[in-house]
Amino acid sequence: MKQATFEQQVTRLEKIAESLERADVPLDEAMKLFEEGIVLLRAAQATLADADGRVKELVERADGALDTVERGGNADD
Amino acid sequence: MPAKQAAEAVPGSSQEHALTVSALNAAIRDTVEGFLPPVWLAGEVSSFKVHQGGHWYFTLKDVDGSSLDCVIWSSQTAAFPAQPEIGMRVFAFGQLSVWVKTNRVQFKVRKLEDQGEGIWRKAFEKTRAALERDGLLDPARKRAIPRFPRTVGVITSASGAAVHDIVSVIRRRNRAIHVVIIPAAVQGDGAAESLVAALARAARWREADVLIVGRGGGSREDLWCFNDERVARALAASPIPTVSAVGHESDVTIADFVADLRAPTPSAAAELVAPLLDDLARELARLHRSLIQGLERRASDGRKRLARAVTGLVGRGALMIERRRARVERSGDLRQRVARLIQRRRDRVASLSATLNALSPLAVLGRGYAAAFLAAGGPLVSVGQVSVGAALRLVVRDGDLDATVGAVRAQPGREHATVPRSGAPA
Repeated sequence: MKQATFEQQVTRLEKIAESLERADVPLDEAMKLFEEGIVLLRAAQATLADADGRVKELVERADGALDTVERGGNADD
Repeated sequence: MPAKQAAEAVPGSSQEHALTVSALNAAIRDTVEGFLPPVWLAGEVSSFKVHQGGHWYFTLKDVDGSSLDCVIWSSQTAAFPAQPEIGMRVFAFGQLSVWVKTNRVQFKVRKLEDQGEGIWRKAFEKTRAALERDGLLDPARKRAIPRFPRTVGVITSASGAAVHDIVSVIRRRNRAIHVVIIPAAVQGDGAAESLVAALARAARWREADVLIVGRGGGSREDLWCFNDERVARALAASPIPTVSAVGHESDVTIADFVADLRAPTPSAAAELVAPLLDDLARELARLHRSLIQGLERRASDGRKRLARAVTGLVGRGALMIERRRARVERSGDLRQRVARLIQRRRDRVASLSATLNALSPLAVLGRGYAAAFLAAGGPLVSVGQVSVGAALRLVVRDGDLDATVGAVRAQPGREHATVPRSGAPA
């Protein structure tokens, strides 16, 4: 997959938080983990803040290519 | 005559216009089919066989023993979930007809339903057993449904009630989630193939994090495609985790066994896959706090260790510096002391050697003195040691000689003066 999914981001974040809990992590390592965590957190928060979820339909073109198209009139908002 | 001519024209009205057997049989068939519309027939299956060519032949009979031959053409058998079993009580929907070749009356069956559950149960169990044999029902195969899907694929009818329910529940719970509908027929002819194709499309597309596969409530026949073995195998082969969502809570299908998760209804499936956005935001906030606390703790550990290290370092350093300083100081002092000591020694050696030089008997002898020794060996220091005629040895600067005492003269008052010098030759 292209970018880390929200799931992967959160899973990694949980691992980082867990690592930071451990006393045996050297400080410079902890700093690196923290920085990585903050970057992930921002990305994940941006994902949620976007809230740009769409409702589409998967269609198969004549050449077999798959594409998604907006679903018209299926407003559930 | 026109009347005669007309009568003669009627098939079978004269030898000239005699009917063929097949024509009559065909007439019988047309009469029967024309006279009797398709009907539902109740009966018990007695004798069943699959003919060459795939046609199913069986007999339906009543309790009183009346029987009727039935046929399901091979082109139609695919529509039946399973072969009927002998003794099974069924409803058959079909058309009474006549097999022209033998003038055999037979009931052409288009629908066959068990009066009980039998035929469906049998088909269900057969599929289940086949999947079981292949290990597709192993609970260990079930994958975890992603906790935070970004894209949910929904395989169902694009126009059914299920799609509406699923979409509205997901939208209500989490507006960040993309919903992509992958349309499929979910009942009737070709539904199973359509579901299989939709699953294949979803697998090829790969963008969905999880798939909901299902439909709203309906009759057993409506839901039957979800018991299809091909659909089950396609679900098992899906590279994307699947959630089955067929009918109502009480509807259990083969798809439910094979999917990674069974949801009782389409709405429930939507709730299962879509975490509440608020929960996610809270979860992120919690992770943020835990990151900060974790780092603070590590930093505070670090500070403590640093402080300890600095204290230790300063302490050890100070001690070392003190020792060094003392040593340096001592070493400066030492050098001076050694130099002084050496100088003193040197001075002393000089004075001693001067003294020694002055005291050397040879030096004394050089000045014209001689040392006298008794014949017994000791130095002669007193007149009392010898008498006249005693032999003496005299040592002078460049040699020694023997001498004899000629006279002894004591000088009163000189004894004392000679006593302190008794150790040294005079």
